[in-house]
Amino acid sequence: MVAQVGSLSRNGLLDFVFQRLSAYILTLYTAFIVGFFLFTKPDYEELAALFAATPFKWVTLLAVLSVAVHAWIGTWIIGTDYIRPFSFGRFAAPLRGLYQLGCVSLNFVYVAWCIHILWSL
Amino acid sequence: MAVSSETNFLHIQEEWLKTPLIQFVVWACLSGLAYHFCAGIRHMLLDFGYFESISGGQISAWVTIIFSIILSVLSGVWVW
Repeated sequence: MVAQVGSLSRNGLLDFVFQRLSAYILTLYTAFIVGFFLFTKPDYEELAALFAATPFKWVTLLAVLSVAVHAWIGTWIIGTDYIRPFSFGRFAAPLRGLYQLGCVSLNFVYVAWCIHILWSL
Repeated sequence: MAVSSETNFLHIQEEWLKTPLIQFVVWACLSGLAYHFCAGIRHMLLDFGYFESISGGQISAWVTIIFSIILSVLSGVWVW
């Protein structure tokens, strides 16, 4: 049993809820984006117009934050499933901590970069 | 995305996105996303109690895989 230190919330039930919540948000957003690129093959003007719209920026921000939540919990799940004393011996816990740190760092870079892109347009 | 910043960049990207390596990477990401998406829908259905039997689980698993392959092929067509 792992100590609940790398997870997003230290409560399994709350993680379960966050995972589902972010999944619902992302399903809708993905459907929207796929539909947009499928049915209007945008040229530069249309793409710029889409990105300039404030509602789009807010909804995309929501989606980006949902990805961060979803990915944090997901990578924690994978880490605790596979980086265990059974495979890695005594170093499993520090190794998993390092892995989680890497994942969270990538997460942060993704969120920060997306915010930068959205609001520098 | 950073594309939307300059007209020039977009037209460069129009070239860049035609290179086979980039097309392959984009297709691979879209395929992975398609499978993750279908499996996620399956999880949502399981949350609400559907397909919870053994045969139900197997059927929904196969449907997920087949649907992902279809979406993956469609992504390939779209990328190319």
